[in-house]
Amino acid sequence: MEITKIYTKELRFRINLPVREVSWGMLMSISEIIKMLEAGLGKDKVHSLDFERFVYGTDWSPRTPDEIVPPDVVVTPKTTEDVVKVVKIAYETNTPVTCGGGLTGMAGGAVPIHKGIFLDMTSMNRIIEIDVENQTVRVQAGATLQEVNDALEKHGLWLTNLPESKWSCTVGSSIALENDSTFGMRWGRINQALTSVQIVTGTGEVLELGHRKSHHTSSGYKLKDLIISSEGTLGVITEATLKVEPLPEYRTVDMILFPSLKTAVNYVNRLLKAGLQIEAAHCNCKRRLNFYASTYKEKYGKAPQIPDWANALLGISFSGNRDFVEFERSYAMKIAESEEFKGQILKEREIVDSWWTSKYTLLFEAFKQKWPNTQKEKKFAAADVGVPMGRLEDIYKKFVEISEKHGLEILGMNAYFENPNSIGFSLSCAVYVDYRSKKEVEAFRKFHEDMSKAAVDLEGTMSTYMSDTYLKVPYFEYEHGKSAEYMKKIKLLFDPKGIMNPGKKFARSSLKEVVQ
Amino acid sequence: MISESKLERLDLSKYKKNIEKHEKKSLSEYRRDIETCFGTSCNFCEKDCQVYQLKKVKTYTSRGKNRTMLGLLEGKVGYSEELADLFYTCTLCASCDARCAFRNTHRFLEMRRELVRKGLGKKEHKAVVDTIVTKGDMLGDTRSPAKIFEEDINKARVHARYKVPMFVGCMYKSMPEELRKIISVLGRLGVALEFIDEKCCGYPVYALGYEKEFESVKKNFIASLGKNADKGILTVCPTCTAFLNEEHGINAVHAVELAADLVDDDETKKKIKKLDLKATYHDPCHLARGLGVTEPPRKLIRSLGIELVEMHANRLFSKCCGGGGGMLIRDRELSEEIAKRRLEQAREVSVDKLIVSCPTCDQNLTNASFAKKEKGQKRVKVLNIWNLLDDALEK
Repeated sequence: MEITKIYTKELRFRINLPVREVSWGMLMSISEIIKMLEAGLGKDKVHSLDFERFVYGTDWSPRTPDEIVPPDVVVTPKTTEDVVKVVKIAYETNTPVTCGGGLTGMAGGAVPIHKGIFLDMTSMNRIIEIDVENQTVRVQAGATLQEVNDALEKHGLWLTNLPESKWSCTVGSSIALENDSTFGMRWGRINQALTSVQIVTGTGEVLELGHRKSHHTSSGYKLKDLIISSEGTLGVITEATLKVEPLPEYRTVDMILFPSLKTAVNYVNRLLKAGLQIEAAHCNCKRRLNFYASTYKEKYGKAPQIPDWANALLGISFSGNRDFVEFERSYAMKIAESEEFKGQILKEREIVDSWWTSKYTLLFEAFKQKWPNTQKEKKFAAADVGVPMGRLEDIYKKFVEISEKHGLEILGMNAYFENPNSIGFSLSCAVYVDYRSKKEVEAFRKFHEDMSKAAVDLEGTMSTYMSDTYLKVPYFEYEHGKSAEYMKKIKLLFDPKGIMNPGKKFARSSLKEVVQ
Repeated sequence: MISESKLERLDLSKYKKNIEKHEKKSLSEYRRDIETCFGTSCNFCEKDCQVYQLKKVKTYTSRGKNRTMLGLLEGKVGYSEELADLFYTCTLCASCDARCAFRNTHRFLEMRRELVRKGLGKKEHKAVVDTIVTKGDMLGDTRSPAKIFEEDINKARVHARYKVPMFVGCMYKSMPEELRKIISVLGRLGVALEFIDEKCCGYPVYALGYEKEFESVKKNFIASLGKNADKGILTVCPTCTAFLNEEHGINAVHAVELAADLVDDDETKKKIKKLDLKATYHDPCHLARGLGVTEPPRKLIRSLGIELVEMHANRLFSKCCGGGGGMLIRDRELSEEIAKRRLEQAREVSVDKLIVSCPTCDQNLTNASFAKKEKGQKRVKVLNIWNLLDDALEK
């Protein structure tokens, strides 16, 4: 645990003092690097004024307003060649490179904690090819998931990997952290869709990894898979080929109350056994259920009809041809209300609609998008641990215990079923954090660390959709054991100088130990 | 001048809206809201922000501008000419507000005032502001619309049953051909207009952040109105309409709302020659997002027999034409690029005719429609709603 302490110290140093460590060893001054970038890419793609950099010093993750870490310079590339030029300059001058998309990450993955160059990839948002016959799309990595779907819609196709941040989350970010998807129960996540990916390594070399447009390969080492949830630590993701699906013509969405989380999980498993194709399934704990109920009461002036025995609320959707979907839905509802599960279909459609709005349509009434109003005092923040299906109740108990230990108010737990046609979920263990209070933000980071350890102890993992970022650095070895050393060697193979998104997954100083 | 009339004064009270007045707080008073944006960071504001979609640099989004203001409050960012450019590179279209719980544009207006206080206003804008201060008109036209259009107004009175005062606004004053049609159309619909020796409502001065100048412009505007607007006033410019409501507390009613009701009359219906057209309608920001007037223009268009096809972005989520917020004065190129994107959205739904109900949208989109097109790209023709009414209504 000695190493953990060192990492923790380094992490705190970075977060509390957003200045570059003198010992980083950049070989040129930042003004010289800016000149090189401007000469290579043109001034219009290089942004170095204080306010131009400031917005890039933070994402969605909880931090106090004085913890914004602006990069030294921001670059908005248009092509892979632009990225190559940037990385070559960074390699030559030993400058950190962090790339990002919509900056809605929940754990600071794209926050340039070591400053340096920030690559805003959203300027690379071209849809390169839509291959209708082969159901694939080739895009520049900075295209948002919504932009891809807007382009696909006229061909009756869609990219199914859709988190709530789809309006600003880019394809590259989605690959870089393997985020959650509303439709994971049927289609999985970006890893199921990605057939090939282009990256620029830490030396500025362009590599195409994957198997072109074919869906599987048993040839070679699967380097493409290394890029998924690599957080840009191996290189910059510049283009991707993705498998897309026919748009469904019809969809039903419902919510069902269950006596326990376990019953809800068993119910989903039972539907799978019956052969139903569930499109989306999300399970909320009692506290989340209470949150929905109190929001409803506030809005409509009456309490929803929720029995005392209800301890879990399952949101579920089916999609496809209308007649078949109607059959699936009615079958699923019949099983839910059977003696076996004793569920109750939620009668208040407003709650169902509100859940689906926040999950998928995002069509909040104009001027009434709810999030800012609910985050005036505190914000939602979560640990994204994962456990096997039989450990759901255990991790829930741990979540409550750890939140209370750190004095954090609990919002609740969600299980997002994201294993295609099989049981398996990501977890959002959410608490409220006063982001104006250093003490509470610090308590949240401790909470995150404790949750990470608890999940590994329950035969699970510390991250299911935010990736490691700097938050999980202290428990990286705890989860990965000796394989962490192999990971560092892989990192150095792609990025010999350790300049790509440094400080994420492992502290940069720990890479030196590997070299030695 | 128009002679005294026995026509009945049209009651506009039923159109009165409960409009939130312009909020005026200092930057530090906005701190909590700015921090809430920092805490929320949903970034929903970027989707419809036309400036951001063209620039693809995050500082231009509402989140980016809020973050910049946080930097100013934290002392991490300083005032500069370039920072002023950022806050003036915004059309104030409020598409960010529509996706948010906050009125971000109110904060941006305060930022502009702060920039002017610090001597960082833009010279191109100052020239327009000075013109308004000295001439009472954005384009320096000091002539009285009541005199210029006297003949047209008297001609239109023949059919009228009602009379109502109208505030024309600087933009339509500079478009006499269209204004004549408005006078004639409303006359044929039974309403005689009464023009006044109006002065600019002051929106450009206000929106560009010149608070001291605005006070004098406001005084002149109020004086020019006299008692004419006491029972409400008819308008044709969405920006003036919204500003008269939001800032001056006047029940200003855009004429499309009134016209949409007037065409419902059985006698009038008989006088409409159906137009064989397929077109889309572009919601002006101030009419749709500012005043919530989205259905009357659609009803009006349909009443003319036009097949209305909606663009994907419509009503409260309509996208800006690029002409607002002073953009057209300083950055015509960007303004035109934004307009071209809007025309492209009409092409996306296979329509080559786009109807407008705002003089700024009309000019900006029309100019863009003549811009060089890609090979094989069809021109989207911009049609003013009053021209269509003029064609359809029996003369």
